[in-house]
Amino acid sequence: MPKILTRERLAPNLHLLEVLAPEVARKCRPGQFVIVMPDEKGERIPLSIADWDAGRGSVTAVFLVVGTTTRKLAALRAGDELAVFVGPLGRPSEIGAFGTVVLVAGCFGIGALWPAARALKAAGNRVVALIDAKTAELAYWKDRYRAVCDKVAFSSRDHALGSNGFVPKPLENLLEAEAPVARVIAVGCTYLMYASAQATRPLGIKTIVSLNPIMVDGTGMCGACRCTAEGRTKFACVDGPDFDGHQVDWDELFMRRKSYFDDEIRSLCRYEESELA
Amino acid sequence: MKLLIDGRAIALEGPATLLEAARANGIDIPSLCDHPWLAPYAACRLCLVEVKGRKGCVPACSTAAEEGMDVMTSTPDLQSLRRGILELILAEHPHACLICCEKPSCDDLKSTIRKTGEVTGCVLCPVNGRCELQRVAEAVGLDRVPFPSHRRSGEVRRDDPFIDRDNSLCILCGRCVRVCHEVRGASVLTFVSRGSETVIGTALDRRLLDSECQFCGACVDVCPTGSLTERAVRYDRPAETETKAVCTLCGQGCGLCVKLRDGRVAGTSPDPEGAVNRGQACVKGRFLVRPALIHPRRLLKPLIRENGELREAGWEEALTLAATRLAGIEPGQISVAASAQSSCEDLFAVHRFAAEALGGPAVAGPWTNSAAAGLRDLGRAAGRAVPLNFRLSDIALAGTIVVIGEDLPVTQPIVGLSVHRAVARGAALIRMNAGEGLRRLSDRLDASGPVLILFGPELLKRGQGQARLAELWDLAAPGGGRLLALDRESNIRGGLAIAEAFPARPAAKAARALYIAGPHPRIAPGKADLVIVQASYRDEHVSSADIVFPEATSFEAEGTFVNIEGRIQVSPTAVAPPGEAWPGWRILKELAARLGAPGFDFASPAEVRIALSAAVPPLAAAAAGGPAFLAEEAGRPAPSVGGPADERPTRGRRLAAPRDPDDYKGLSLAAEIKGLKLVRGRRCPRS
Amino acid sequence: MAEDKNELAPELKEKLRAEFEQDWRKELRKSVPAKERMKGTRQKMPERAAGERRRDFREVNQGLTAEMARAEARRCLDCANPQCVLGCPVAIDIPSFVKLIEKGEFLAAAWKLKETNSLPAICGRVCPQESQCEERCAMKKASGVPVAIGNLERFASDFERLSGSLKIPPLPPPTGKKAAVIGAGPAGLTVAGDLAKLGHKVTIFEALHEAGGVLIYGIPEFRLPKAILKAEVDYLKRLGVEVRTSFVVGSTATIEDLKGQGYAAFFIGSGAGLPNFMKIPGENLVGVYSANEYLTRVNLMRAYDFPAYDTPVFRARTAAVVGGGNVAMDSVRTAKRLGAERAIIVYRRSRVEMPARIEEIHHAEQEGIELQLLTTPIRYIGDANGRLVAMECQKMGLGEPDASGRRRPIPIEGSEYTIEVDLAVCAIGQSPNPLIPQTTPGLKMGKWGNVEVDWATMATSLPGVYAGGDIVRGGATVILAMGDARIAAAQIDRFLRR
Repeated sequence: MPKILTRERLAPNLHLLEVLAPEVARKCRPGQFVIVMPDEKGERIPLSIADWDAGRGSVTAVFLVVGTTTRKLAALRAGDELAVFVGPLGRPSEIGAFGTVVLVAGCFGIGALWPAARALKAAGNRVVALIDAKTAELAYWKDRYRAVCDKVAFSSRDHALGSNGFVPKPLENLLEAEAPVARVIAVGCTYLMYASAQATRPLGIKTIVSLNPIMVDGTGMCGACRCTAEGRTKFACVDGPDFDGHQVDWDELFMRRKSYFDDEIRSLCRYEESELA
Repeated sequence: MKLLIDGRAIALEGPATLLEAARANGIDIPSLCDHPWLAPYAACRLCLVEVKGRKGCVPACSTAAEEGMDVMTSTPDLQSLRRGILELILAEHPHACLICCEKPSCDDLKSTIRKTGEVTGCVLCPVNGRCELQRVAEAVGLDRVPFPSHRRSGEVRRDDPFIDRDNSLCILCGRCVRVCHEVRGASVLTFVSRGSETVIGTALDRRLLDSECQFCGACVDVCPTGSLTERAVRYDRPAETETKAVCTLCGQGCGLCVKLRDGRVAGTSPDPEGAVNRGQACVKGRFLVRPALIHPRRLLKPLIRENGELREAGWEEALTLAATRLAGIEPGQISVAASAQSSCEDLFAVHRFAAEALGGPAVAGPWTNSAAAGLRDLGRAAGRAVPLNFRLSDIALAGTIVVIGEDLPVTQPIVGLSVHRAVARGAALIRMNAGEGLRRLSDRLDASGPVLILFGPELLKRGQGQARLAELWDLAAPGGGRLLALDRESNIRGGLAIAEAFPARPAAKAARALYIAGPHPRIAPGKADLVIVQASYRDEHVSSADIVFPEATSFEAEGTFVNIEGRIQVSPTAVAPPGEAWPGWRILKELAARLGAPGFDFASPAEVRIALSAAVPPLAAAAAGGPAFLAEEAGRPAPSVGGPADERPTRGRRLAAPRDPDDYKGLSLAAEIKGLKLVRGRRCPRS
Repeated sequence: MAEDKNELAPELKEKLRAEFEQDWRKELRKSVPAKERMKGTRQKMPERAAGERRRDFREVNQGLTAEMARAEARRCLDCANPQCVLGCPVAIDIPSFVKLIEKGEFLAAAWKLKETNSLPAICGRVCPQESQCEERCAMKKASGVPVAIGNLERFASDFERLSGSLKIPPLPPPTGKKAAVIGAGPAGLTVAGDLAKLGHKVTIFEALHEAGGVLIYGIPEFRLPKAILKAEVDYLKRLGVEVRTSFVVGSTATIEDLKGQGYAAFFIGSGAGLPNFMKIPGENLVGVYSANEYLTRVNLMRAYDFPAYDTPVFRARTAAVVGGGNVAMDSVRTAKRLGAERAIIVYRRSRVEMPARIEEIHHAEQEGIELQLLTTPIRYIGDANGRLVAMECQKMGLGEPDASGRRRPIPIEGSEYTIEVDLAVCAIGQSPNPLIPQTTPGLKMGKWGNVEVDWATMATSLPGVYAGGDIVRGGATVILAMGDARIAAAQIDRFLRR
């Protein structure tokens, strides 16, 4: 079973998981994800791949703690084993020489977008990153971004990072300053991606988002992750996870992500109870 | 007195702080560290106001209103001051969402993310929408925090049952420390370290389980942020409605607010206006009502034994079978047992059923050997009036208090609070075991001031119980003192009064049939031809029954309960009973109808109460509604219930062996619910 | 194709004859005259009572006892020209194993089964024997009631498993050749077993975290207990097969990559893991599931044991399942067990056209499933929160037969009506999973996403790459997958030895 090499808290409520999975590491491409199951009674959940090292044979994912499974993952330590770590899944992000690309990243998206930032830079683009973080503490991997991006800006509600509000306005400013922008890629919580797509729509700039519906198998077999994009039902795990943000039915995605709200609470309460004394 | 606040003339009846005066007149002055249960603290400084003629500002929470004062609560300077204070508080509390313009739309869409491991903003916080800090921020008006945000250190403490502690959200208002010390007398939480290192914690940073915490939940109730929360409900969406009910998990009868969502109980909290508890609760009433009501051992459907196994059946089938089989057994051969955790309506129905439908067997119940019965019998034996009724608040006025055989934090926690208050005012407290000799006691008693002797059923469990009670009376009465009977079940007093109203009958010698609506000694298999059980939970009785009727609990069926004070309280239906459970009186009504017994034509709990008041005069106040106490007896010789007190049939003595204080209708809360198991299982010095 | 048989292959005929002529068979036939045998009545499979079994996931059929098995085996006439074998897609020597049961040699019967069928405990439970071996049984022609071959197969293999004396056949010396099997479903498991018994080194690559494919995620516990599947997979491992789970061929490695790792031949058994939806409005409402998702949550992820297992599944009050096959039956019976007060099958044709096994429909009705036949949903209706609350349906009439041979359903105008449902499961069929085809250049595909093969050899357009099961047929049965696997394994063996 895949072994954990590192599990580290990068920021409040956000953790990094580095797993020894040489075969997966050899095949990773930007924009892909893995399906993780912490133990045999656990759930299968998708985690975006944030980095990999084919030489070391390791794959790195970052995740927010939002329920039972991520709570369990956050409690793991180096040397522990995962029941399932399968991938890399999903279609890789489209990397080409587009021109100026603006990356909007928030929460786990900061980790998830980094491979794309690196690859886009290598492909000859001007790469500009807008990192959204509620507080300065939540902006991790700043150095990594600064290393590959031509410019790194922040949107935050924290004075230390420049208190200029949530994504839309800072993004508009950035797009104006960097015009002409060939495309925008936004990865983060659903609201951030939605807001980014709304901001770029009047400007007609192609915006790619990485959708995050609930998944079960991750290989296109069950349809749990179905969303509506380009007017048709697509499976995020095999048709995506990247989609054109202006053609996504966001309302449907928000609603489908709440499918198991009460069960999730019950599961978490039970987990906490079992962890007591 | 008269004074001016913001130019308005305010008239006050009695002494008040400026904050109280303003709030009573609809003027909102923001504050975070103040709380109606606690002495003013003046720590947060949000309530600063200007008083004409005085230099600077004063905190409204700790400044007494005086005749002729001219107070301004909201000048531009004060508003700016408040904003500054709030900014400082928020510099150490996740505030990003508070100042984010996207909050409303983000809120709408992010509802699943409240289950975060650490809170980084309002929309990810379990108390989003019910946070006092949010309310104050809104009232004060804030659009930026000019300081870099600093996250208070430490992981969320989840190592205790019931309560989570999150230091990252604490604003050091001190309410938890103060309520634990001033009101509960436990002093579990305190300020640790100084200056910017200050945190709230326990001595030596122990778990609450390893300190003297009784998990009453008062700290959770007073916490203005999500720093102290009730774990079981913190992720749920906020409750939709609230009903006030009487807690029936012990004999104190506290007032509870039962929160509901989607027709299910979402949690309970103490009713600040509860006559008995005044906003205080104990671990059971605060945290265990919901788990008890949804416990997997709940009986949801009638059960019938067929081929050696119990199978589910419909009410019609079960009732018809029960009636048929009961009809085939002679009156003298049926034994009936009832519970002192049942409502007066249910108990009345049991007695009437026994009398009218079963040919009149005695109804056995735990009231027979209760502390209250002992006290009553004391009076009767001596032909004088021994008062049974009291008020919890009376205890706080005692000069000396003796507690015999009762671990108050476990069995009677709210009584324990009154005792604490008395001790804080200088009363002497003597604790004794139930078996200890009383000789030394008389030596220790102070002659100055009335003595209150608090005792429970433990005292009467051993032989010579009545004699010892008489001794105690002789010690207390001359000095104007009293004996207070502290029974464990929720309706001992009601049970006693109702049992008296039905003529005494000898208990069945060798019962062929048993109708059990409460605790009963274990039945040996094969001893009885027919066992019918009326219960809420599956327990040992149910396993040996032939027919089982699922009963609703007090939260699911309107009922009257008389607490240890003698206070008659009617508890409404707070939530619908699960499955097909029925109120006890309804089960008996239907059974009586099939047996052709008269006297059961009531269609609602109110109608049962009318019949009840007619048959049981001391409960007459029940029908009238409003706070009332059980009518006390004038001194008169007792009608014998099977003979003089100590010659009661041995059956009765075994029947009423004091039960587990954490028992609720056959469910042992301490054994079944992990949190309580941990709380009770520790070896902790008595506070 | 595996099942297109009107004539047994000559070698097989000879083999059957040889067994038939054995002395013990002759004695057994003589011991009870045919007329006696025909008097026996078919032993009824003991079942758990419907009222009790519809609340849990324990197996419904409880298995024949030894006495019942021998009595049933006695009914078999031991035909000189056994037609039953013709009906079996893998041509099991049915008379031999049945007669061994009659003789009381249960273990020998199990081993006889395993000579041809590597998963007898599974086939005994899920094969549609009534349309295969039992359809052609001579006893059926003679008395109308066939010998319960499936129940006997189940009995023998359960006996072996429970007796603890699992026999590993003597394995030939290793050939040194490596074969990669993609998918640990019925086809893949069969190919692996066959190749291992021929001495090759086999690795099965399975995308999910447990082996079994549709056997583990699709067929519920109450029809096929997972313990049995585990025993079968363990047996394969003891034959030397390596099973690598959580390995997605096409993502984690392509066929090309595996060639580079020394695998000389491939079998693609990746199954029909692509759910078909009806493409009607409202299909993405919360509460509408594909049968694959619904069953995977419950069977593979054990959502019936939530919250002990973390994966939830929606427990409905009223569940509607669209479809009439075994998957639909499994889904609707699962919904009932999860507490639905009403569990309804909505099927656009009539009862006789339902592809599901008669036994499954029968069990379902006993458990209280409602059948709304000649009905099809036209849209799903949701509330303000995007949750399913109702389904609008239309009644159908039956017209002329279509390509499948079944009568074509024709909508009846104006017959629309609405049922209140809070769960809908779309069980109208599966299509082949596209992942391997998409990542294997040169693999010739059919028009509905299936891999094209030469049916005589199960070879694909790529040399050394074979395929079988649902990836080739679309959603079909376990035994057909095994039949394909049998042929493919033989071909792979030849390919590896050339």
